[in-house]
Order: sequence, then C-alpha cells, then structure tokens
Amino acid sequence: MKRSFLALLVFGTFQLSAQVQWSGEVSAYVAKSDRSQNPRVLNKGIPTFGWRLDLFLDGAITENVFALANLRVTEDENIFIDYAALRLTDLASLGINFQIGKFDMPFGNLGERRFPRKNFLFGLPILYEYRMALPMSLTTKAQLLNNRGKGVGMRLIDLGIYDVGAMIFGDVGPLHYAVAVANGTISSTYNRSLNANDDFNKILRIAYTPLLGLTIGASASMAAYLPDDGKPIPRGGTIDDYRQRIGEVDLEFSRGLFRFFGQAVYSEWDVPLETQDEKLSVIGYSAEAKYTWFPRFSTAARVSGLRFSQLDFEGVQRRWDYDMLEVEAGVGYALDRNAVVKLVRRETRTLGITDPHDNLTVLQFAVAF
Amino acid sequence: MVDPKNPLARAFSFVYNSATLTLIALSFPIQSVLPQEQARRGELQGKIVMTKGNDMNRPAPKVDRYGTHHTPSTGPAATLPQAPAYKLSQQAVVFLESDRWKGQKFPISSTRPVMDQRDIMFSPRVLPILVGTIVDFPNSDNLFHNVFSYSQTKDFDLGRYPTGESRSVLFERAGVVRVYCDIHAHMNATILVLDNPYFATPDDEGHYSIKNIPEGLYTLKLWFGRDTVETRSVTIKSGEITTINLTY
Repeated sequence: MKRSFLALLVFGTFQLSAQVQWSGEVSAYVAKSDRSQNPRVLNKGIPTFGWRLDLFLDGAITENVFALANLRVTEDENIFIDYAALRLTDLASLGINFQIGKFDMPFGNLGERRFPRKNFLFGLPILYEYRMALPMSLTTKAQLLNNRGKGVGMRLIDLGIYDVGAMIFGDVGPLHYAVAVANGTISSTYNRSLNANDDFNKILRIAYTPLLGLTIGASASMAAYLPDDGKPIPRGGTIDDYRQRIGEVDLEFSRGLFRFFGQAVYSEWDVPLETQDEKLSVIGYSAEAKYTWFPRFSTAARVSGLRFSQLDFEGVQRRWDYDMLEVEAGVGYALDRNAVVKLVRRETRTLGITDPHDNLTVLQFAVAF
Repeated sequence: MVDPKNPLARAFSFVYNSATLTLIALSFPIQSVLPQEQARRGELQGKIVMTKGNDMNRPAPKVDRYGTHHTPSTGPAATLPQAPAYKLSQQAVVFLESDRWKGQKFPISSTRPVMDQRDIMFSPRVLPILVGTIVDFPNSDNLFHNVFSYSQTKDFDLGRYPTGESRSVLFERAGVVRVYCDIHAHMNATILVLDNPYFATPDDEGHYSIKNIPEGLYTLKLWFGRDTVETRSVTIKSGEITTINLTY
C-alpha cells in the first residue's frame, strides 16, 4: 500500500514535470562461491545468474525545482523505489539546496559506485553489505553471540542508505555541507516502514576539496534504532533511550588514470541486554583503487573489513561478531562507452573461527542507456 | 668540389644530389605545385541554411544526485550547468571526398587544433583535421574531465587533469573519432580525421569557402553534430567559383 502510494506520488509528480529525462542501467552476472557457511556465500555455492535493472528519472518542474526517482528491479522480481524526492536548488539565490522524500543519506562517499557500471568491482565494500550479529530489535546476550557469523542482523552501513527524510546541502568555496534528518538509522534505514520509533536520525556531512582530485570528508549520525514493536524494554527504559552513534572519515583521490577511495567508520550502539545495558561498537574500513592501463582496460582492488568490540559472556571476553577481512581484485574491459564487463575474485576471511576462508568469482556485464 | 676526373666521386655526387632533390620535392608536394597546375584549381563556396534550429543539441538538465562533494565555481551544486546551444561554426563542417587523394600526403599545419573543455562541454563539438595532426585537449573548467575515445579510428584515454593543463593526441588514420568525458555523460564531440585538406567550417551565418581545389568531380558532404546530413556531387572547374548552398 505504502509503496503503491509512493509510486503514485513519483509518477504524479513527473506528470507535472516540464522536462523529463529517462536513463537507466542493466547489469547481469554469473557468480560462483564456495560452499561454506559464511553469509557472504552466494546461493549455497551453486553457480548463480542474476540481473538488475535501474531506471533513473530526472524531471525539471521549474528552473529550480526537480523531481527525481530511481526504480530498481532485481532477478527475484522485487521492485524497489530507492529514490523519490523533490529537490529545490539555490534557495533565495543563496546557493542552498533543499531535498525531501526518499533518497541516499549524506553519509560517506559511496556516490555512483553503488551502481554496477561505475563500481570498480562486484558489490559494495563489506561494511555496506555484511549483516552483523546485532539485530534491529531487542535481543539477549546469548542470542547475540549465537548470531555471530550468521548474517541475520543490521548492516554497518545499510547498502545505499536510502531513507525517507529531508536535507539541506550546498557549498561554500571548497567546503561541501549536508544536514539531514531521516526516519531510520545509517545501519537500519527502515525504508519499508515508517515511524519505527519517535526519534529522527540526525546526519551531518562535511567534505573539503583543497585541490582538484582530492576530497576529504567526514560524516556523523545519531538516532534511536529499536523499532516500536510493543515489547517491554528491560529496566523500564524506552526505545528512544537506545541509540546508534556513528561517524566516518573518507578520502577520494584521482589523478590521471588512477582513482582511490578510502573510508573508515566507527559505530556504537546502546544495547539493552537482559542483565545490563551494553555499548557495542564496530570499526569498519574500506580502501579501493582503480588504474586504467590502456583505453578500455582497467584493474581494481579493494580491501575492506570489520572489527568488533568485546563483550563479557560468563566471564569470558568475546567479540560480539566475528571480525571480517575481505580482499577483492578484478579486471574490467569497456566494450563500449556505456558497457563494461568485469571479472572479479573476492576472498573473504572470517577471523576467529575454523574454515574461515570463503571466495567468490563473478563475471558481470553492465550497460547504461 | 668534385674532381671531374674521378668517376667514383662524380657518381657519388650524382646520387647525393638526386637524393637531395627528391627529398625536397617530397617534402613540399603542395608548395611545389607548378604554375599551370595552380591555374587548374577552383573554389567552392556557399551557405548552409539551418531549418531545424539548434535546440536539438541542447542537453536536458541533469541532476547530480549522488555527488558527495562539489567543486567551487561550477554553479549550483545540485545541477550540472545547462550549457548554451552550440553555434553553427562549432558543429558543422563541409568537406570534399575523392578517391584521388587516397594515400596522398598533405602538409600539416604548424598550428595545432584545439578541442577545449569549457563550461562542461567540448568546444568545438565537431573538429575537422587532416590525417597526421596532433590535437590539444586543454581543461578550461575548474573541475576534472576525463577525455576518452573507443573509436576504431583512434582510441585513447587521457585520464583526469586539472584546470590549465592540456593533453595531446596524434591522429594517424582517417575516420570518425567519437570523443566523450568519462565523468560528464552528456559531453560528446566528434573529430573528423580527413585524408585531404579540402574542408571548411562555416561561420555562424553559415557561409563557407574552400579554396585552391584541383579541378575535378568530388563528393561534397555536410557534417552536422554527430553525422553526415547532406551529400552532393560537385564539379570544380579551373579558375571558377562554384556555389553550392546546403539546407539542413
């Protein structure tokens, strides 16, 4: 019902648009991973074919008002409206912009790399995809530790961080700023349900570009993350007392035929466990680089990982999830200006358990139109 | 001085002088045109009349929705600037084709043609050059561009370079080279690598002129934007001005 409403809103808005531009991207892949139990294993190790279609709509309603939408369809025939927003630019000729609707939260520097054609490799860095042990609901210490390595909880950064909210953003000289409020948190965007709790996510991002090709950014966010599902909170608290606080720094550098992106994230959750409140934290990091050796031909590599804090369980200190380390490398060949084929190998290490070594090999084709 | 009594020295001198003269002659194929051949040349001129307008080349506004930062002095952060429509002189070329010029070499101008990157557009949109020409690609914007081409005629990738810097590319084969920017998808241009120097870009009113054409029968083509839009047969007569008006 809610999605139908959003779809009506989007396409109704576009009817009002004076000028509409459609574009899109299709990608398909064949992937094979090994058969271990890691949640990064794809389809139990069975060779898998998948595809994805992204449609982008840019509608200019007036010179300063735009309607934007992204529609994503995947091989399991799910339809996602990732982006449905109104943007007002250059408010009162001050260079300040305002956006409201559903859109990507201003946190980090993922940018267009979220789409297969601009992505150097396959998928997103592990901190965007890996489901940690901590769920977005009440849990116990035993459940939490039992969840380790099973891929059932929140992601550190929830994929594209598409959420419902409002944002003011702009530039002052080499400084870029964005301030947003949103419905969910960076780790749980609640993009399919509104009003999960009464707290808004408060997000701030600042990026500084001292010279062309070099940008240093930092983002921070704070919000309650537990949903209002009617369960009593231990020790009489309310769900709004339990927050996620997350911050990150990022760096982008490009020059000539070389590009580099780096990001480090720290997040902390107040968790109402059965005996006492705990602060659980995790550090995530990612670094990736691409070099174009010849026209059409490039190589890329990425290292990303997660490192979890420790928790006392029956007198023994244990990490609340297994640390992860992932290394990816790939080659890309541009068949055309708008089409690229990539061969990527991904090695995933789950540290601290036996059989820690997982891998994935994938051939992916992406074309924009 | 060569000793006239020494046959070996005379033979060496003959070979040396012949080779020198041949080299000089090969170096100046056009400049060494004999006066009578010069007289057998004519001129082609005319006017291009535009009936379709220029707005077809104006890109629709594109919103930069995933920008995580912006570069100062590029306009409002939320949208890419909508560039003004190209002038006729920046996107139209008139040129002649003939089999008689296949394999023939013509002197290259010492002035390098330029394809500028300014206001997040290529300028000009169509650049005609002679085979063997080096083209400069300066970046005049206060942001990165990444000029590249995957055309069979010439593929290259110049990477990202800052304001004020320039990169160069040598075009060794005749043909059409499509040029793009890897960062700004709406940016596109065409380099026409031609096998003869008989081409012209019109002025903004559409007037064009190609001088000093050897007499004969040729194919006249009008290139506009991305493609050839008009083809005519034209006969050039010595000492005459042939007028061909083209409508698009």
